[in-house]
Amino acid sequence: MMHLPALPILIPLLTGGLLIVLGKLPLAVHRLVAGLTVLAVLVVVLALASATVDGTVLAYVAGNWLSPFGIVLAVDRLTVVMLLVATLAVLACLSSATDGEDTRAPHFHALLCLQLAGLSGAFLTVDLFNLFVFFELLLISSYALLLHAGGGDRVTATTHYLVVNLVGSALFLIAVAMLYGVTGTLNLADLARRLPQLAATDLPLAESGLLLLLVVFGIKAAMAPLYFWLPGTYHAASTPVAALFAVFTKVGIYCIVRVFNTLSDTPEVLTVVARYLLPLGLITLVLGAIGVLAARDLRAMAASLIIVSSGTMLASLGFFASETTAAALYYLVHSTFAGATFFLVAGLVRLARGEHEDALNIGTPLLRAGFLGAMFFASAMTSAGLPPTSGFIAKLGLLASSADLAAGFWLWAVVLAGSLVALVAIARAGSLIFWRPLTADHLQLASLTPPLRNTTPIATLRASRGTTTAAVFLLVCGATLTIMAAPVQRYLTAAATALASPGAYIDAVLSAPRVERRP
Amino acid sequence: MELLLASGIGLLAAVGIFLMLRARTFDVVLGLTLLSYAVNLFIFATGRLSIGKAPLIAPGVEPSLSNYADPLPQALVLTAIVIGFAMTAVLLVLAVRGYADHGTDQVDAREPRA
Repeated sequence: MMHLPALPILIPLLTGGLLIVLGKLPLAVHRLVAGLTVLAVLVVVLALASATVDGTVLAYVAGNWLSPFGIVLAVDRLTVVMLLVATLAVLACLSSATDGEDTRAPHFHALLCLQLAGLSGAFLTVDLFNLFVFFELLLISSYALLLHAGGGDRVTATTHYLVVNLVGSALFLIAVAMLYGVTGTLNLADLARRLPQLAATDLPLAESGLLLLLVVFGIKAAMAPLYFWLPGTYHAASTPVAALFAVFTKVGIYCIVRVFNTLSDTPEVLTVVARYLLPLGLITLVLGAIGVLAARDLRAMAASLIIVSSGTMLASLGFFASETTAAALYYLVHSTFAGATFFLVAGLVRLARGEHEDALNIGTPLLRAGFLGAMFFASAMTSAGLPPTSGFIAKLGLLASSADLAAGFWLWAVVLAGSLVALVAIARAGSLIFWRPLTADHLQLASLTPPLRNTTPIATLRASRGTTTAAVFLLVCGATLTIMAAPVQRYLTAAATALASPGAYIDAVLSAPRVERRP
Repeated sequence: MELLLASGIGLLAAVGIFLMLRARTFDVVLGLTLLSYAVNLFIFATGRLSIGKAPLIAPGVEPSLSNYADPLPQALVLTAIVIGFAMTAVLLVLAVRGYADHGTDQVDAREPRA
């Protein structure tokens, strides 16, 4: 299968396009097609995983152009991890959307397929301009998904999100153009080869181009001070879409990891980027933790937790040491599952509590909230990073790998303080919503008002089976990550080691084989 | 010609940023459009400025940028224009919908207190 690396883009692009053209088909067909698409991509990703597990880099020249002139797609272990995480998040979103979000307006599933195509493309491509194009593809479908079936506040939130990202796109184009202007290439591997040969007068231009790229990826990755779009956007999104958006900041993180590690043979690149990454990551973490503490409802808390996780990853990537990178990659997988679960559970709580939604107030007590409470507890433990969850292992790995590094102290101090703050805030939220003694008044109220009975947690969970399934599925994914921690960490360590010495990746991309035409 | 192009790009970007910092969606749309014009010209300029040169390689002429025009930035500009156009259309729809929903074109959907 020579064309395997192109399939994660082509399959969802094709089915997404078909679903738009055949928009009048019954909803069940849409759901089926989208579900089959995601499963097909999952199978392709697993095939790619087995082909690259020994460290092989699969390179594919799109349109059979000679590398580095054409667009090259490349798959290594890091790409496989990202593709897998993104596909699982899309699957969870799809399952949650079947509760009724997809009935409110047409084309939800088509947009979801295009979203998956954009995500896959961003992870696969080695061409900077092509990366821009895939960013736009995933952004334009995310605008539509964010706005889906909503007016009013959602329009305002989408406008903010759109304007921020359009400015980001303009900066991206300027950065790409600057790099092309001085090096004459857009291929990342070719860029890595040409940057060290650059004349000393051109180097400052290349450096400013790279720093602009960091700004662009920082907007996507929610890096301080560029994350102010995130809380409002995620707060306005519907439950399935918010769960999907948990994977978005990871696209920015992936781009930072990929681009700057591939270019790391030019020492100037690392010193320029590392100077900003660690301090900005720590500032993001602190501000995110303050946001968690200040949140007035569960969705705002979940959004702030996403910012905290972004800050943690950015800070630990700033060391550019392969051990910390490996730990940050484990944290990345964990935080995608944890973030998405938190949004799904927040959505369920919001439905179950009726008029009080997910606000952190005393509100109506939840009667018979056993299962919902257990889901919240599990997701809260994971997000706060308490043992035995994957969050604990992820943080332990980060701290252990940075113990001997020069600036490791700062990471330890801020990560531990941030965890404590998050723990306090999440515990307070759980106590307010779930852990409340029932007084006789409450019971009487519950028996007197019939609408309250219909909104008991059990009824909510029965009515939103898709979201419940998605949340349980993601919790199981997190548990698997805990149980399989040793093999996963070995795999990610191998991926991070390959990132730290990108020679093999660069060679594979530059010598990508062309497909021979049969006579 | 360099001075003219550089100051043109600078002026467009400055006006674009000024308009984007205003609190009305219409101004923001205009600002983004002007900024994208500036970016397009900038991409175009990375192919070096030349007049009357073909991007096709002719036999016997040394293949360097002093003899030819670089076709790649032109292709990039074309892609950027198309994408920018689509995004501006989306933004305009949102701006109109926001105005219809909120009765104001203030970007936060709140009129400032007088």
